Amino acid sequence: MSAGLLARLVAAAVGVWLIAAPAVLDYGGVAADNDRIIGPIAGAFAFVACWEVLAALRWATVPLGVWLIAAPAVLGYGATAAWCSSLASGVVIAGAAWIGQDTSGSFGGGWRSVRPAAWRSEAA
Amino acid sequence: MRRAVDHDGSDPHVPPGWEVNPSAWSQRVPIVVLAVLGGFAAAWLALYQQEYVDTVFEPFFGDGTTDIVRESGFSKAFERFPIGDAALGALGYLADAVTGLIGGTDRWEKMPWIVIVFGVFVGPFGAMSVMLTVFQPVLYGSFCTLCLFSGVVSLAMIGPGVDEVLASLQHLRRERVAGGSVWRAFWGLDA
Repeated sequence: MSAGLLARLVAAAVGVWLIAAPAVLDYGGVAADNDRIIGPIAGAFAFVACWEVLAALRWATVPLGVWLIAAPAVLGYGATAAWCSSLASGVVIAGAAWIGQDTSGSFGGGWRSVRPAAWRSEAA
Repeated sequence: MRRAVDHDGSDPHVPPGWEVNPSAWSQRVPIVVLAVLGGFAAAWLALYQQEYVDTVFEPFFGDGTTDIVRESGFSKAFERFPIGDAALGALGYLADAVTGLIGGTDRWEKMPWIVIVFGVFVGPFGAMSVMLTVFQPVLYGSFCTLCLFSGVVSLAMIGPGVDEVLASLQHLRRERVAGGSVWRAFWGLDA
């Protein structure tokens, strides 16, 4: 298993953790809603990015991870279990995107080769 | 995830610059199997939702499935339509399976239209399943095992499904740059 694939799976697992965390750590309110919204979305992006052709999708987890780090302060839940969970999850989800390489270019040039500009010239 | 590479050059339909043929049966059959599994889960939920059966697979979340597919406002909203949300999901999986099976191992080149239709079913459908996973706990405070299984299945189909779409788009682009008709190439007609 490559480091990139492992990183993607870890980020996806953290997404699943966020879905379960409110029940496991026994918190509700806005913290629970936030985790249950961001968890499945971040986990889904990380999971789908396991496939090399969609490796670039892993970057979508970065803003989600950054939001998880900022959320406790922005939404105002204090230094509780929910805060720790959100912070740790955010660091992993955002950081994991930098592990591994983008190999989508081995698919005939990847998605860049079909960007709008590429349809007009031989330059692509 | 790396895929089995066509090292010996035995497949004449590997797209230019690719290591595998995304339309090979070895690439497509697993997606169809996933679609069938997801379809079974969705069909069971549909039968339960329409009260044709009274038992549903729910080992983890107590009354979660009942709360979501029979009682939730989301599902009740579908009562105005001739078809429920679970049955709609089952039809979606059927569409995935059928469009995954149509065409030969050169379909990325000879039948781009079916590849694109397949991609539309696999991509947005998977995205919708994630949205439903979000709605469940946030709106209704419960989970549903078969719904979650269905969501994971949908997601697992996106990666292996869209590479074929990329190969078809690249083929259409090459036709365009070479001065051919994208429209005719899309339908697999000779330029």
